[in-house]
Amino acid sequence: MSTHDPRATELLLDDALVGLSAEEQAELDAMMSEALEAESLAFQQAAAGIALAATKLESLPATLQAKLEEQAAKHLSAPTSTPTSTSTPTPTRTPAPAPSPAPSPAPISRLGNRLGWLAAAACLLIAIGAWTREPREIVVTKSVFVPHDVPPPIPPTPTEERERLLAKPGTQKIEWSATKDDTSKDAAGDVVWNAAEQKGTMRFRGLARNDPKAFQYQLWIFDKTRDDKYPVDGGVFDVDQKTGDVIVPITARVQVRDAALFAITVEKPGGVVVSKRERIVLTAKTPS
Amino acid sequence: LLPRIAKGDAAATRECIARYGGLVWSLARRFCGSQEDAEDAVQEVFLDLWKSAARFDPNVGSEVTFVGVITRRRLIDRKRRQKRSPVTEGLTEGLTDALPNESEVPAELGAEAALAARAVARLRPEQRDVIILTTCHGLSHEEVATKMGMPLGTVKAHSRRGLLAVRELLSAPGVSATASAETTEEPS
Repeated sequence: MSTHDPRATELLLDDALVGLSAEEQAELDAMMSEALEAESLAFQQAAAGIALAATKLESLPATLQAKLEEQAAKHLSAPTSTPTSTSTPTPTRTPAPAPSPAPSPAPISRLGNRLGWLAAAACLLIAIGAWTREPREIVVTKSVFVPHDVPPPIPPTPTEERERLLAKPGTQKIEWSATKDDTSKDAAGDVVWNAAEQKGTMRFRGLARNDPKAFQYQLWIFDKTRDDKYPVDGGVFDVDQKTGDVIVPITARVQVRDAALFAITVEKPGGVVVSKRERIVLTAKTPS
Repeated sequence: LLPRIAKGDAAATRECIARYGGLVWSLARRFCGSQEDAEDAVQEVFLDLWKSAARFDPNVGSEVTFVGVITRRRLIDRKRRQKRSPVTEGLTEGLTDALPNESEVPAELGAEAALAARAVARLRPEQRDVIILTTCHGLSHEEVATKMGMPLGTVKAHSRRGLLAVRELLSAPGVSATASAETTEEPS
């Protein structure tokens, strides 16, 4: 349990969760201490741990991989000095635009303000500054972590995932019902959903191709344990082929406890937080 | 890998991309509103990794957590720079955010990820939903409130308490990925 000023703890938590505004960052900077720096690191690592645990690994697109390798080569060939505790690397934090004209101090100036207590920090502590906001110096209170150097597994293709789920006990397979929307009048297919794994796929045949710059399809999952006004967002997707099956993994944003209905809507590019449900194109109702 | 990169080892940068590229890409797809934005974000993250490689210390945390921290910070910064575009949804394929059980978290994602899964599993369902939407999708408290139909204050309380619970488990004395240490479900 934190023993710090409750407001400081609140700001550190928000920083790790969603980031801070320029005003909040300035407020936090004014309170910052060695102990709070350590707390900040702990919160950042906890948030990263959650994100890592929830991540279903995907393959990096080949074109992007090529760009990264090119970028890495340029970086290595550039005349740079090895970063040290006294270097001035590019700040990793960019405060959000502030409504007031008061500028937020850059990370490097925050460092300067704290040189008094930083001078007492050991080299080990200096070395981990980049874990949160480089080049902050952070006191390590304890580490419970174990290094891992095992390459991540190659994720299955959507087709492989569908077949895998169909072979699992408890998996539901529900046929789509098309509406009269122009995009789906000839559409068919099914939803495969395994509640225990919280994984699923959608298969479409005959659903109209979409221009992702004009609109995208979005899945909504109605959960019997939730208010119907707030179905679970299943993610947006595109259909880029005229014929054959299109298989899309399901992207449930939060846990679906008891799926009642899967519905596809047409939404603006990128999807929406709450759908107006103006164009519902496919539905799949689970057996009651 | 990161210490080798800090020394200018070109092969290590390629290995790093191969090892963590999918992870960074997966995280970016959750935070970003378009494929293009996600691609730009991934490039920013790796540039940051190259620059920060010398600061990695395995005594502080695993390499994959270092990559996770850098990635989330960069993605949050991008989103705030873009003034939190109203388009907050990620892309489509391969994403599922029901947190796996602790034992199902792949070892390569680090012991801390397994511990985090354990801690999150003990939260109340609504707390769990809120903390996943903030930490994994980069949604602001306001966006989560809209999406979940919850008061803003409740969303903030859920997310803060949730992260506190995870942080407390991670720092509990003697806790490891295989230990059975307990935490309170709802810290005050």
